[in-house]
Parts: sequence; C-alpha cells; structure tokens
Amino acid sequence: MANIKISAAADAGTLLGTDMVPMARSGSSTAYHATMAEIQTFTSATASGSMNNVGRNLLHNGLFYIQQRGAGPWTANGNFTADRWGISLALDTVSVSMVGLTDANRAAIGDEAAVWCLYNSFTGNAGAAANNVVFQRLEDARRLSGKTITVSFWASAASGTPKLGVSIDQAMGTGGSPSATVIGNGQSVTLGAPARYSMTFTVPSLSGKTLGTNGDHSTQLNIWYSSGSTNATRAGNVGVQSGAIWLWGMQLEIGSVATPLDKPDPVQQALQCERFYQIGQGTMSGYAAGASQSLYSTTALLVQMRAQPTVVLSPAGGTNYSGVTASTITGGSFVQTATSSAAGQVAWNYSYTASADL
Amino acid sequence: MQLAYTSADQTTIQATLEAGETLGNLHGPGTCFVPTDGGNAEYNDIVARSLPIGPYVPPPG
Repeated sequence: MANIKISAAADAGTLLGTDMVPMARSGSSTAYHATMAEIQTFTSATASGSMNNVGRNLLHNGLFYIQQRGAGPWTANGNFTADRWGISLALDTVSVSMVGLTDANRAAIGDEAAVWCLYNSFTGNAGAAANNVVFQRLEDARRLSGKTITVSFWASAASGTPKLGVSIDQAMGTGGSPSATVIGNGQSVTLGAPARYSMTFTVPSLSGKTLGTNGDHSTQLNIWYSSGSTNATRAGNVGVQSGAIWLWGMQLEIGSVATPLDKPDPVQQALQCERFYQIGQGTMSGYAAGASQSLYSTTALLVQMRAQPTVVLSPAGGTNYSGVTASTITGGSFVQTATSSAAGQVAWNYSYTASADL
Repeated sequence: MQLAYTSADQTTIQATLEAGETLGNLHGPGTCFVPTDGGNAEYNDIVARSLPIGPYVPPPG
C-alpha cells in the first residue's frame, strides 16, 4: 500500500472534479502524485462539507426523529425508547423521554436540525452493581472489529457537572458455541452547558473468536449515566450520581476523528429503524359458511426485517370472529388466522407491532 | 406466562404475558406471537429459560 499513487494531470489552479486543487510540488510541472495519506487528509478536510457525504454515521436514529413507541417516559430495564435506543439498568431509577429542544438549545448546538433529544432523569443507587445505561446494538460485530472508531454527540446537564461515560462491547450472538462477550473499558466526559463531545476507541479484533450461528451478533454502544464499583471501569468511572442529561446528534464512525454530524435523509432513517421494529395497521374481511371456519390474511411488512419478528396483534374492532393469531412469520410478512363465530361476513381491523430488535 | 404453539408445524409460539413479566425485549401484560427463529430475541429467551411450551390446539370444527 505504501507505493500506491494516484496521478492527475492539470495545471496549478485548475479544479479536478469538484473541489480538488493540484498541489504545488517543487520541481513539478503539469502532473503530481499524491500519496494515499495526502488524499485521506485532503478528503477528511473537505469531503463532508463539499460533497455532502452520508453513511459515515453507523448509528441509527442518532437524531431521535424516529419514535414509533412514542415519547415515553420509559422507566424499566429492557425498555426501548426512541427507535433503536434501549435502557439497561440495575437498582438505579430512570425516566427516559423524548423532549423537544428549544431555540436556545439549537443556538447552543449551532444546528437548527436539532429537534428532539433523549432526556434521562436518573437517580443513582449506591449499590456496587447499580448502574443505568442507554445503549444501541449495531448489527454484525465484524463491521467494527479491529477498527478505530470515534463516538461523538452533543450533551448537556440540567444542572451541575455530572459525568457521562461511553463504552463499546462486542456480543457474539446466540446459536452454536459463541465466545463470551468482550467487555470494553469506558471513557467519560464532564458535562455542563451544551457542547459536542467525542471519544475514540480501538475495537478489538474478532480473530480467534467464535460468533453465534443465529446472525444476531453485534457491537454495543453504551452510554453510562451512573455506576457502582462493579462496572466502574466499563463506565469510565462516572461514579454514583444523579441528575438529568440530554443527548442529541449521536454519531459513531470509523476513524480517529469526529467529523461533522452525518444526518441521513428521514426516509433512510425510517427504513433503518423499521428493519428492527415497525408498527402498522390493516383490515381483514371474508365470508364464513358457518361457525368455526378459519380465515386467513397475509400482512406484508413495511421493510424486510433483521430476523423473523415477534408480532403483537391488537384487534381494533370487527365482527363475527374470535381467536386471532399470527403465524408463518417471516422477515417480510406474517399470516393472521381467525375463527368465525357464525355463518356470514367476518371482518376485523387491527394494528400490529413487529419487533426484531437486537 | 403461558406459551403454546399456534400451528402444527411449530413455527410460531403464542406467548401470554402477565403484568410485570418480560420475554426478550417485550414487557407484559399482553399477547405476542414469537417465531421459532434463533435470531429472534424473544425465542432465544424462551430457549435460554427452558420455558415449557404447550402443544398446538387446532380450532374446533
């Protein structure tokens, strides 16, 4: 790789493509050779702004636009909040909700695209095992293994100067005989007025590790609000603390530098989230020749999901039916079955959720 | 928590959760339908906890 060269012929001052300007080289005339390092430096300095590039941010819903479960509050271990963001807690109490940012917040951030924040009002418990965490699991642990990554975000404390910790874990998934989860050491920052923070991590290689066979291995980003001594190292030594903190503009990218926030198109954000969780509505109708007749209807999911989802059906009216179930669930559809109560028209309306969350 | 297959081919489990019960990423109360897919968090929870699953009961008629 050290000898790779990219050559371009142009006069000094002439634009190449959109923004590339030939570099002045002593002794050169109309051609120059840029090393790969020079190209990377040039690209990182200009590409995000000039080319409006997207795809650097590997997190989903980092702006918290997608809220298929509503605005909260959520208080229980295992709850999902804004799409893709979950809560993990032990002994601590939390109240996580989606809160609208104010013009003052937007001015402090310097971006009027800031609309929603993830707000956690929490109380730390003094127990050694106590903690509270907001996390996102990124599908496929191999995407980030062996790489340097940078996590960046805007954050602010409602009062005081609490710490906020960040760590990275690698979960090997299920099925077969997967290796144990690799637990990462955390880093922390001290918060105050709204500001953007970044931390760089080296994600361990998975060489020699065995991944589960079910395709559910992941890299987990943990945001630590409080932690007792048991998880102090993971939590970046944030300690036991209480407070209220908001987050916005979450980004995780490959590389050692935090680049400008990558804000995918809302359509793309919705599709990313619906791969893991989606809600929908539908209607089924038919005619039964008598009682105890089975009627079937297939519901197509909005996007192909990560895995076969768990389906929750909520009938919302109808007539002449009972015993609605879901079966033949795939990543793209499921079948509803109902039983007629008597001869005649059968109809029902329903809403559903389909969850393939990691 | 009550679990039973919803079809003879045992590809789906109906799970009825009481208040306070959890299954994978879901919290009761409520009824959900869990595919017997190793990539599904709720099914993995059933397997990990060795929860008993009732047989499929076909509809009458």
